[in-house]
Amino acid sequence: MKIKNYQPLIKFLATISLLLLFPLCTAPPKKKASYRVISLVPSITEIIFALGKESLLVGNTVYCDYPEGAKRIYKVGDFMNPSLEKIVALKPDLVFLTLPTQRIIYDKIQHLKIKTFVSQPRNFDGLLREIKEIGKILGAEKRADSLIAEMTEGMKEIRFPAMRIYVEISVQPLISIGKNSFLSDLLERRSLQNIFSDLDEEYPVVKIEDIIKRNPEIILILHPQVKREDVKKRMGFEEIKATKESRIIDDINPDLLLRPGMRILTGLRQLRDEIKR
Amino acid sequence: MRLKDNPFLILIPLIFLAFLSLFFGSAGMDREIIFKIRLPRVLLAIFAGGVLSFVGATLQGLLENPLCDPYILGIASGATFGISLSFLFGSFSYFFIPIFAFAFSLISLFFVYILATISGRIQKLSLILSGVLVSFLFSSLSILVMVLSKKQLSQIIYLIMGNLSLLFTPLTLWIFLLTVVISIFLLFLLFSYAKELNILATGEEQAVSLGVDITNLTKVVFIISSLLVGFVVSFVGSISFVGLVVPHLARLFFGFDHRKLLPASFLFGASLLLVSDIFARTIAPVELPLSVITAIFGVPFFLYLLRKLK
Repeated sequence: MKIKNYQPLIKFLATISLLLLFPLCTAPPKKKASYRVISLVPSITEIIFALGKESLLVGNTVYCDYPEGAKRIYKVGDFMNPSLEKIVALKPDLVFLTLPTQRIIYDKIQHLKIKTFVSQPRNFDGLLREIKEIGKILGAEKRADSLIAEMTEGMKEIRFPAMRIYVEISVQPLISIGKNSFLSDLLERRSLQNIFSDLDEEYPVVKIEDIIKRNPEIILILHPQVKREDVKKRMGFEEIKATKESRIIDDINPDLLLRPGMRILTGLRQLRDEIKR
Repeated sequence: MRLKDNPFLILIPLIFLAFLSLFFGSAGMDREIIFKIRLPRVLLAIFAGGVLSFVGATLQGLLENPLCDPYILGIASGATFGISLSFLFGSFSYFFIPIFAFAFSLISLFFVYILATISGRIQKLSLILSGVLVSFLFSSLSILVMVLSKKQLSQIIYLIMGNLSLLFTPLTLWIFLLTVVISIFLLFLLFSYAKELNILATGEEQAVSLGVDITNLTKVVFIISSLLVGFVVSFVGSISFVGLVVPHLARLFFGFDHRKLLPASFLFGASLLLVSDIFARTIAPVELPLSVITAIFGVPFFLYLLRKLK
């Protein structure tokens, strides 16, 4: 086949090359910072802000939405799929990320010899250690120490009755928290007993019949898909103690408890007040 | 009475499996759990497996193509897209999901139909090809929509791979039972075309000369199939392979007579899904997506069939 008329082809190629130029318009802003860090973890973003070092933060993810200022930081992608190109273009000195979720991007960044900080707080003490380390790295040691003292003090004040709790992260599929999750450790430390603390997975898919069998005294819904009324109406749930004694909690912002960051105290206080009511 | 003559003999293993499923599970034999959790689940498995297989057998007969099933023709992916779209609008209401699922399964099937119709006739090869294409398109679109609405990846996988752990409330149970009643009616409607499908199997020209209105038959079967698959997908997500493999299994036992083949497909499909579900919820401490199991069973079996029939 012979192409006789070249004009459409040329037009097509011109359009394509114009489209290829387009990404240049969205190039990252030139931010001058002595030490440049990128946070791929919303909780770390919150910690950096709490340490007052947001001026060093040159990039974060679309999920980094707290505090308000975090939304205005240049976005390198979402939590699961951050863009390697955008990260490299920012010329960071350090990238904060979490494993195992970000394993793929972690390997690539390592390969490019960019320094990384892996955030993996297994429990409250781990979180405090991380805050201290980040404080050291970013040159905010004093602020870090006062934050740690504040959190340790705050934690002591919060007490719960010894009760069995079921935490729901998602409804389709039904996901709860297992032994190795940060939240499970946090609750167990405050004498609440996670009914799925025998499961190793961080966020296991659980069976409806197991929830009923384990008969929790508190149901904590940490997703926006259902409300208290919907949970009450679930078949088989009317026999659960939490339903009978109406201790189904659905109005705590999930980020408060699921992000191992500065706001867990607020989350725990809200939970305590809801249980008391 | 031999099995070959009476497809309803499959009811015996089906009932056995249903009881096994009722009494099998991690939480033991609590009365509450058996009636309120496992019984709806068993009904769901029978409904989904049966309907998908029945529709698969009908489509394979209509299009005279052994590779047809709700999946390959893009119906299931269309329905999945409809459901993810209803997530985007935030309407988690169970009323909207089946409507969206049906609308988009019909739209995708319509797409496939138009793409495959060349000068007024459906080309069989292009039907499969356009089905696969549209299926890819809608699968990608549903992942896009789910990501945009900030769903977790696990939720997307469970919707695309199917699972039976639906949380029933009295309202959803009522809607489900209503859907089952409508579906039974639709299945009988499809069954009433069994004779036409038999004639069609002897050749298209012969069928036309015997007075079968193929265009009309195609339209009716397509619409009913989309409705049924839309119903199923809106309750359990899209489960692959059942609709493809089971009709072949049924054909091995009962031959090509659609009057036997269709009910046999329903019963075999229901049984296969019950078995798969028992595995899906007991093999690991966590629940597995159903298509993982059906594909592990389905693929080797399908390959075996392919070799044997060649």
